Amino acid sequence: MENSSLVQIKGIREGLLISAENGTWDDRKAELLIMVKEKESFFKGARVCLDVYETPLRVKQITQLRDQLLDLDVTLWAILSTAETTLNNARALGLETSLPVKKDSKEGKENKDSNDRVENAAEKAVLVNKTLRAGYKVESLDHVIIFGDVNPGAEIVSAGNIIVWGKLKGSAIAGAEGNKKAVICAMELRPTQLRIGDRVFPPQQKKGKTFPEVAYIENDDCKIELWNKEKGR
Amino acid sequence: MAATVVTITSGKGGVGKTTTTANLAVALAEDGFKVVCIDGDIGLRNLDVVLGLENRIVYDLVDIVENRCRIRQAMIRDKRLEELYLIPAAQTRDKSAVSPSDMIRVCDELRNEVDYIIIDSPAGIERGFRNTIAPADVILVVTNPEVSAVRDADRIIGLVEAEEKGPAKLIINRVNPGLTKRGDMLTPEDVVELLAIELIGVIPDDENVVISTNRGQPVALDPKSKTGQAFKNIAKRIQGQTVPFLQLDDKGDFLSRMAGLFKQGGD
Repeated sequence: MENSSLVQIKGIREGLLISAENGTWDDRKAELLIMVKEKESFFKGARVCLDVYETPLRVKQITQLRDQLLDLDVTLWAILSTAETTLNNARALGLETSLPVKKDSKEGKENKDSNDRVENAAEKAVLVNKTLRAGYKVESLDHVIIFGDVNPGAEIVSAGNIIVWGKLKGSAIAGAEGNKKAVICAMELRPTQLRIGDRVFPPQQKKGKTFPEVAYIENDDCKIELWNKEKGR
Repeated sequence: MAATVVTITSGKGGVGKTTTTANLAVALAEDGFKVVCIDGDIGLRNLDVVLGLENRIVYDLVDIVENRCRIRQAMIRDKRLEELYLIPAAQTRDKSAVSPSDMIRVCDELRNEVDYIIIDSPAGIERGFRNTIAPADVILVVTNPEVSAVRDADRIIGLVEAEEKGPAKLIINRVNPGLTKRGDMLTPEDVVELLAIELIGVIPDDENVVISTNRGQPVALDPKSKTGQAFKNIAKRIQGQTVPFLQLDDKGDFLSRMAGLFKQGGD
């Protein structure tokens, strides 16, 4: 494909990968749109994945580009980025944020990065400052804190601990990379499914008022008990 | 005049989006507003049937978008109410025939001519859904007091928030006071607690809705219908008025059930 200064295109198995690392967002977007318009017949009906590197994108910027591309009959199905804001906003809009198969060298490097991060998993946490609604997924190698509810149909996957300052009614997987010392706690624990490491907790039947609880694995047993600060958990 | 664009959506199919659209449009038109409804369900149009305007379609939304006609030509005027119009969906095309910016363009052109534009959204969260929420000022999410419908409504509310179009408002349709009383159905309170958005209407479960839908006569046209009244109340709330919620208590329900029994016995 032809290379221009701000936007590069290459064909991948899933469609087209457009890389746009440099320049202001408006310039990159304008150049991309011009390129698509010029090669209308080539792009018609295409599915594109956009890699914006570290650029933080707001929801409006993503939706605008997505809709403008759609007008040209081009579907934006994924956004790759190293900026957490961009990834969160893209996920919220139902876009993919990674390519299914990681084969080329750049992706390999990312994998190594993430392995490095697992070892430091104790230090960092992701704070989500809202209620997770159905279909929303939070995935992180760090601990996850939800300041709100987790509704049925929402999902949290963390390599570390999960803390829900609200009702946990969706699915939660802690210690997803195999850490059985991870815990899941919530103000109200009524999950669709609970997993720590590779252990799936048996379904719970709860009625009436509930209290803050913590779920953990002890001697390979799934335990759920009332929050008790004396235990230091 | 600057119109308010109201989009009715739900995620799950069959919860009553089209019925709600038709009845709200009728109720707003009865209040003296100039109302245009747009059927956003391209390929599976049915708002025309519910409004009883099926046999008068010449041009549709796709004709407008593809410049085969002017907007005026595609607006079918309702014979019962002076200021109610319908822009039907195309039957032979699919959702990709219209884009979000097409919808914004059509609505912007209508904004100076009417008071309310009511858009009926298709089921699902794909292209058709995005088409219909793109121009919206107000988004109403319709759900039934069923776990599956509430789950889908939750997803839709999340997507509306993500598109920065929120907060959406909630209509709970087909509430059966008998069943909720016995604890066999989610109560409106349960639904509101989970979805955590503003409630703008509760519609009782009513077999007359099925009958009126088949006849193309929305219940809101019937001054005696309680369900029609529930829709009229939503129309009032959209206008910014404060209207108390209807009491869907057992009394009226018991009487109607008894009446139903007598009817069966008499047949």
